[in-house]
Amino acid sequence: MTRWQQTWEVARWEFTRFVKWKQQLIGFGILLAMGFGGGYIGRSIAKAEQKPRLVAVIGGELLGFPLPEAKPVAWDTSEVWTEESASAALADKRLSGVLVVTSALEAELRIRSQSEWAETLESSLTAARQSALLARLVAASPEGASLTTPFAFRKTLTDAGAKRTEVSTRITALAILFIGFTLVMGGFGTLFTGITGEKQQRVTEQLVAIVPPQVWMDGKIIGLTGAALVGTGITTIGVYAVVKVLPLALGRSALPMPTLGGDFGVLALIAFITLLGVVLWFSLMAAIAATIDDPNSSTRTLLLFAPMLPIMVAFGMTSRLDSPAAQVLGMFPLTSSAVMPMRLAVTTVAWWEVVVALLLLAATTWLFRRLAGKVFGAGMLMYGKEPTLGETLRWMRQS
Amino acid sequence: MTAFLTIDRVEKRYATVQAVAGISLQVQPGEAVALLGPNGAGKTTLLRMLVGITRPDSGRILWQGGATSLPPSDLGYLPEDRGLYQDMPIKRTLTYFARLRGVPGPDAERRASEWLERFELGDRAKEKLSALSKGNQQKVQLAAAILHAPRFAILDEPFSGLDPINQELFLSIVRELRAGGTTLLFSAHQMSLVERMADRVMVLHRGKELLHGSIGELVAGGSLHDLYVEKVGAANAELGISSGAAA
Repeated sequence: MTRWQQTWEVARWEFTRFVKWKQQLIGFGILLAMGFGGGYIGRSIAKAEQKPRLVAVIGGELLGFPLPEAKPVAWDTSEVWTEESASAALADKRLSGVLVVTSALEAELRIRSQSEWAETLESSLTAARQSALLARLVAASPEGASLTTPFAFRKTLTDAGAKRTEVSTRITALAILFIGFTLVMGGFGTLFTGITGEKQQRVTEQLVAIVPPQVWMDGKIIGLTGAALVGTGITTIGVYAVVKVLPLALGRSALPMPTLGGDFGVLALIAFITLLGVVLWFSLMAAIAATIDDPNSSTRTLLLFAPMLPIMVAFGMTSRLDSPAAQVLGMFPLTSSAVMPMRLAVTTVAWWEVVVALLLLAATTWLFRRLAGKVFGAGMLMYGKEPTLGETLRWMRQS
Repeated sequence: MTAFLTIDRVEKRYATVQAVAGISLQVQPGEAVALLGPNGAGKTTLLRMLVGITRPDSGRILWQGGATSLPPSDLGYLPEDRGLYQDMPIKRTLTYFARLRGVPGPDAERRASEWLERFELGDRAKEKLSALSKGNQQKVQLAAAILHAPRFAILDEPFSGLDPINQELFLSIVRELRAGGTTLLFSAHQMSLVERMADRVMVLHRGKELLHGSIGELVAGGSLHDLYVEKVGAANAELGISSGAAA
């Protein structure tokens, strides 16, 4: 049996160990149920909020502009209100509020208790007054019309290779990045369980008598990456279904969602870099997991949060993606899997930067998987005690 | 005749402990050789070096006259530290180990079923290992080590933790393996079983060879148990340690 066949066998085993289709389906159902329940509750709350709040107006003519629309407020014009009749109606709850206008700039809202819609009403009145004033200015001045005309602005790219990315491409790139992040964070639990669990169950000795440590580690990284992809994929489909399909099932139009898609070439490159980044972090985490004897007591599990570094760097760079720092971090292997996709989606990236980023990312991934294999080979029989860094390095030299 | 396994002046040290000190041994095809010795004598370290889990500091390990390792399909290994996937169905686990050793898929499944039937676990094939008793788990462990019909089997304390009935069962299986041509190297503490199972015995003490010979030569007129106690006791006395400390 060749090394590749053994690697595939280990990968297949690890995949089937952690991808339980029945549980995935149950999880998917729970996600849909939660989405459905959440949507139903949300719609009920929204409906309750839409209940009209009847407000009587006294002295409305002093405003100098028509009463604005301010949902859920409904102006009660069923009768000519006086302060006495309106107060009585407010007290016996026929009205939600009484607006007493004292001048064009001042009014008092009388309500029984603090209500959120009161602030909506205040901002609506302010906006209506400003619109009325602006309309008067436009009418009075020959140049007034230009007050509401937007500035004419267009971009022209002069570099030969530069091309503008569409908004949909940017949004899809961000979605891929987010999915990659979810994949890494979600997959680590499985990775740690997969490696430390085997040590705790004393399976490693039997296994390594059959397959070399590197084959075992490679198979694990491939299989567990596959398992994480399936888990994240199902969750992504579930979330998409909740956002797009369930609102329709509830009798409402779908929530506004950006159109996904865009430049296929750029997106494929972004997906590839993200996936390579996932494998890189899985390899590094596998090496760390191989030195852990008991994940319940090990302080090294804090290193689980290390992959948040590139994501935090990438989000910190969002407004400076053209800067030299972004260029360097876009090629540095520990951050490139997050920064380079953002740069590709938002700005123009030189082809050589992409090549350098890919080469460094691939080389570092290869090094990390070798490191994982070496560390595992060195420490697989270390039960009950975690090796120090010095011990690990010494064993690696000896192995 | 070319020896199946040649161990030539092998040494292994862990920090301040000399685990194996210049051991040499040849195992002929079809032979069954037992490694005996008190705990810490170096038996497990020696066996681990044979399967490639650890490397000797010096000396050579040669298979079939020249190779430094044996293909996984030819080697069966039952480690001292027992363990299999607790959360996986036992038949799938056995099939996995067979496939890793190069047995094709359908054949691997058939062999897994046959061994489970043999151990009267056929109706529990889909159960998780954690659902089995310790003795039954040990049967599955033995099956995982030998279901690919290895040419050379290394069994590290195969009888430990077994009741007499299961000891007899394991003994009969090992005899079947031998009848099928499998060469055997094993460690054990059960002298009566060793006498019935081994052709030759090597006793280790503190990493060194203390005694080596065929069963016939060693137990002539006595028992292996008495000989072992006498020799190991004397070696301990020479080093100024009590037998309790050595064990």
